[in-house]
Amino acid sequence: MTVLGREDLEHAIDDDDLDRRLVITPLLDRTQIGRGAVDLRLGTEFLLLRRTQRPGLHPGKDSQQEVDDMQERVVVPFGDELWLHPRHFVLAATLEYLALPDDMAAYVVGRSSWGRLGLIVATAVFVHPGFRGCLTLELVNEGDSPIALSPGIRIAQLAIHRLENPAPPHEDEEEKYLAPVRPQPSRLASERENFKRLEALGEKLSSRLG
Amino acid sequence: MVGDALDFQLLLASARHEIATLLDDPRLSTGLPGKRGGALRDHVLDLIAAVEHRMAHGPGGGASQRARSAFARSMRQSIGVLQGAHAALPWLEATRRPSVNLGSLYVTEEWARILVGTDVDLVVVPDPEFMYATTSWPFSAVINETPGFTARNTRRPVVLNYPLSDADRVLLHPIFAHELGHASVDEHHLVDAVATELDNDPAFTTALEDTVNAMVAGTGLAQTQISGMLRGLLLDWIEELLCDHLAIEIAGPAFMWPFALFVLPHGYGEVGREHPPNTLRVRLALEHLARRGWRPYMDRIAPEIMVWLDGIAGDATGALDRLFAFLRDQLLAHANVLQDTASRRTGADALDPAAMEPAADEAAGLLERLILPVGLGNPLDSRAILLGGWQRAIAEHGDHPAGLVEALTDRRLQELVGKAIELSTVASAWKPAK
Repeated sequence: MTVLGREDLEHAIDDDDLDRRLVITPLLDRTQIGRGAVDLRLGTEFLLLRRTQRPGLHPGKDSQQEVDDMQERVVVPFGDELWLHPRHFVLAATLEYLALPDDMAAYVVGRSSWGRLGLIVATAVFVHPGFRGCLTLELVNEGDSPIALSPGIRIAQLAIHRLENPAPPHEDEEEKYLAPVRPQPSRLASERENFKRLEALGEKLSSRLG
Repeated sequence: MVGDALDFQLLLASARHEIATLLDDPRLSTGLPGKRGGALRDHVLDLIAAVEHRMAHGPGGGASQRARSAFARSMRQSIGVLQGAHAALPWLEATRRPSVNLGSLYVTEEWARILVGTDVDLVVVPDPEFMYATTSWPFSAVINETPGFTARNTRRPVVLNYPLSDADRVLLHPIFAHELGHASVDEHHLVDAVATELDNDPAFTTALEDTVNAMVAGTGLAQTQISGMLRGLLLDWIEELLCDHLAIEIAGPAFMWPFALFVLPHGYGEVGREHPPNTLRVRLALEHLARRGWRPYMDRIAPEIMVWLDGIAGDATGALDRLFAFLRDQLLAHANVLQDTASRRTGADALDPAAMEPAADEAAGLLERLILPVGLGNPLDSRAILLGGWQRAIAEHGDHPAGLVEALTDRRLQELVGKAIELSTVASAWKPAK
């Protein structure tokens, strides 16, 4: 895999062929295209963890509805801001909607300017070829001071890689987060089968001792 | 006793209590960022100032019993309206954290600017009774009826209520354009304009006289009673039909399709309390769309749905009671008056099929590829995105009435359309740093 530089990025973004085009929309400012990455901005929708009577989250036992119910969706229009307090966690989304062609993948990293304030922009990190949607960003304030988050601010960087031998996606890769436009809660609950297999495996292993 | 010293004591203390409660609420005491909700907040503050003005100008000790009773009445009215103003506090909160889709909010603000004027403050809030409704100047009853008081706020606050369950049903939201029509009609006296044109037409006045006389003979009711009833119904019907026409002006077919699926399950050719029969509404809406040049586009996108709608329009001239038949026939005969009045209001801001069709095609094509239709070159017009959204919905869910309903359950499509409108609005307003 090679990382696309500015010239290649501009070519990919301006490609007339929609099947080959790297769509990053809206690209409000061409200066967002850097030497080896594209700056991404913060969107207007957030998911905050709701305080509930529940003891916690168990992705192997809780239903998707139970996981979703613990999150509260908040919309912060342009010009307003969301304050993220120390040790607090919020899911956000990029302002830009991406459509990667089948021969491109990407990595998302935080911008160091935010990291130095204590804001960690951890994300799903790897973006699959063919992905369509706004990226979910997992924001944590690890600093000691509350931080104001303003929609539209440049918050992360996207490094694009070209694949040498692109392959069609697995079925489960296609459907899990299809074309999201807002931050997505964890879909681990949809992998409950895996948790059940692990549980069964644990029982099998422990029964060998009995 | 009404208006005695103890009554005044109670009323003044209650009014002071209501005012203090309102002012103590941080949702009112804290300023709002930007302009959204600012006029509504000032309107509430004007209400408080008007009531304080009333309190300061109460009758003196030697005032007549009549004056004292009148003051007591005005204070009771003030207290009732102050209590009602508590409803505005969640509205103010909603301007900071909108629950309606942000893309819809932006396009609805654009519609409000066209229909009502640039000095409108639109507040879109969910309604606990799950109703669509519009209210302008919600507390003007006290403010305007306080002699010697001048309101500070001159921007029109418009509160648009919608059912919370429809918050993200972006394809249904062109219904908001009809609702804003009520504020437009009120602000620009459009019903009066239509009624005046009808009154100046001898054919209308003769038909009116004949109908009233026939009903007097048939019912035994007084002429003034029948005339008044007929006039009231006529004005109600004109208002509803004008709102439909205004919505068509600014949203075109993107209004017609949700309008049909919204009203037709509730009634067909029956007369509503304030609404004309839906068959008549569909007929006049289709006539206006045709006049505006939308028919070829609609026949291309949804030929079967258009055949269905034409059938409904054909039923508009079915049997009705004499009074309602008179209204229906006159409004059909004067369709051009409704159309002209709506077109004059929107002027150059009316949706133009020649400009919108290619943009709607582009939006629909991008949606088909699961690409957000913000616009590959310049940002697409938000109204074209909405139209392209309907175009894609009909292609995906079918060219038949049930397909229109199924489109509203397509969450992903509506999320894409709403986000595209939000981001195209942002991109249009964005000026890159030099």
